[in-house]
Amino acid sequence: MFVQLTEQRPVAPSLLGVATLSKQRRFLSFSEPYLYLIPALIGLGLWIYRPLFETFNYSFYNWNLLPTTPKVFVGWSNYTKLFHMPALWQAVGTSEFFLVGLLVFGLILPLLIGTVAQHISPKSSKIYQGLIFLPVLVSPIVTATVWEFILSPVGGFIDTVLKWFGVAQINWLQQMDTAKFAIVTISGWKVLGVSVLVITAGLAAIGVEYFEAASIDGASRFQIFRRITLPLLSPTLMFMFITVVLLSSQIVFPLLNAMTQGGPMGSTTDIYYFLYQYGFQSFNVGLASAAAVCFFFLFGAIALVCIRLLDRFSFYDN
Amino acid sequence: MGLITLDGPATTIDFELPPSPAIAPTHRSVMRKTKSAPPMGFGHSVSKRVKWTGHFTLGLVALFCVFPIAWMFFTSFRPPNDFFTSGLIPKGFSITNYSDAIRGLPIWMLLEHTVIIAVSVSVGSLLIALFAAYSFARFNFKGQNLLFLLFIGSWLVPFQVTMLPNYVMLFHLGLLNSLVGIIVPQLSSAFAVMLLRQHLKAFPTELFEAARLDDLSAWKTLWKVVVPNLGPALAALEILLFVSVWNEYFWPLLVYRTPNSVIQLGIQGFLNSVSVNYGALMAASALATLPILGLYALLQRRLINAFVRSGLK
Repeated sequence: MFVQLTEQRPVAPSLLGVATLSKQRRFLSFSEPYLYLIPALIGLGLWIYRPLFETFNYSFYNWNLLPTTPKVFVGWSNYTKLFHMPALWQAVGTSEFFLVGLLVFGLILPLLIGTVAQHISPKSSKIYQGLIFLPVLVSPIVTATVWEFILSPVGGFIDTVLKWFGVAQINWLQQMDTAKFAIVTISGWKVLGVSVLVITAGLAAIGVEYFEAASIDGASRFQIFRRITLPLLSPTLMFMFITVVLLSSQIVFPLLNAMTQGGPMGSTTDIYYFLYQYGFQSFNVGLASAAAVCFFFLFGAIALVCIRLLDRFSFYDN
Repeated sequence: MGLITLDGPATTIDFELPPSPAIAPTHRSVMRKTKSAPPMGFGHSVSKRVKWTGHFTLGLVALFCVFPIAWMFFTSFRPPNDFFTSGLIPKGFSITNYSDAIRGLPIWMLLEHTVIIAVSVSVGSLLIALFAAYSFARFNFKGQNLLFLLFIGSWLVPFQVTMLPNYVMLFHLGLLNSLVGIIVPQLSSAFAVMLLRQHLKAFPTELFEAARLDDLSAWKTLWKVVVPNLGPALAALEILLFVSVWNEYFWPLLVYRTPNSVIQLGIQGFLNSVSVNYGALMAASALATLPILGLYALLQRRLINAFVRSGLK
């Protein structure tokens, strides 16, 4: 042993070199995956998770967004204040209205369109889909601009056409009852393209054999829809449902800001617009943050339930 | 499946499992199958009446979708205020609206800013996402699942929840009213990471192994093996990111509180001005939409696929 050691001494430096090299290498190969991840993680941490926790934190303070005024700790009072605001519950109601409306455009209408499209040649159905997709590419601001022009009570397209039929001027975006419907229709116009694509893709994935077998067995078109299309399509429908639930406010939000600013009389203020108004217009950061925290948990819970449901529905997925 | 299980083709992208088989190759094979067979298996039983009902319904929906866009272009070429005086039928053709828009808006500056932002955000987040997705797909490492969960979880954090603190952060960094302030917070796209990871998972492992046998480092493998083979997916994602940044206006609105920043804000400023000049507004809107529609015309199929995969964003 001792002899061996002494014998090795002259060689030691090089051995040591190998050892450190492999150590370096091991360190590199250990850290390499993290190195690739660092840029993305920094972005995620800095602009998503840090502000998320910051929002939790703000929700316990009173602050007006001015860097010179100190934040005052107020405990849970922002939350109690929030829940006693009628405007919040009105906004929740409006959000529900928008959600239901968008489910029509994101789920029911595309399902109808997709079923109808099954009966015409795939080539012409593709052309229609390409046209239906166009609004998806139009920016929210251009959408707002164009629709505001079409709905304009003076010289707008709809106004001019209605005049032919003797219908009096309607100020679509300035009346409480029509403004909501206008917003839903316009957001639906933007959503339809994607949902039609997703649902027709889902329909195309259902094997032709099922339909053939059913029609040979003498099933009516409605029976085929009810017994074959709907169950086999349920994972796709569930996916669209989750997407619409999670993203409906995101789609409506820029339109609200550009077209109605939440009015008239707050009738188009949904929960996120409510939050925005308290944060950036009334500068009540604490209240806005408390609202943000509540909405975050609400949508998180909805998403989890939906994912569970998706799992169950995916039973059909082969 | 679902949010909790993390292996396999998991999670957010996983929501898309139902539709994606149809978008991916299967779609084409289904289509090919149906080409020889009657369309979707209904062929023989489809009466002319049903067929025409189909064309009628789809035509109506397509009209509803296309009309506002067509109306925008149509109006933009009418003489100014023509629609007030002569109703729906134009009295002539004119490009006055375009010259009005160019005079009323610093349009070249707005377009320049928008292009700078859209290119840097889309290229930057594509690169960042490529690195992250490569890390997830190529290596096995400690905390992999947890880190991936962080990416998926960010999907559940709406923009409106983070906007206030991010605004404050930009203030402290002195980045308000700057292009950098618009660009930097948009650089990390969890969606892009997940989409690319999905593509990389489908990557033939033999290629990785061959690279390993050739003693190619992971870095070189990325550039010499992965990127050349991932071309179409990267291109589609790049376009998708470009379009969404081009159309984005809310974040620029918060950061850059004047209408003179990006084209979308310029149009909004125009829209909210005291006396709305709809003709010029339509011309400006047409100018802001044209590049996107041009991209769509060039790369229709790719763009559509990318959009479907992304859900609605």
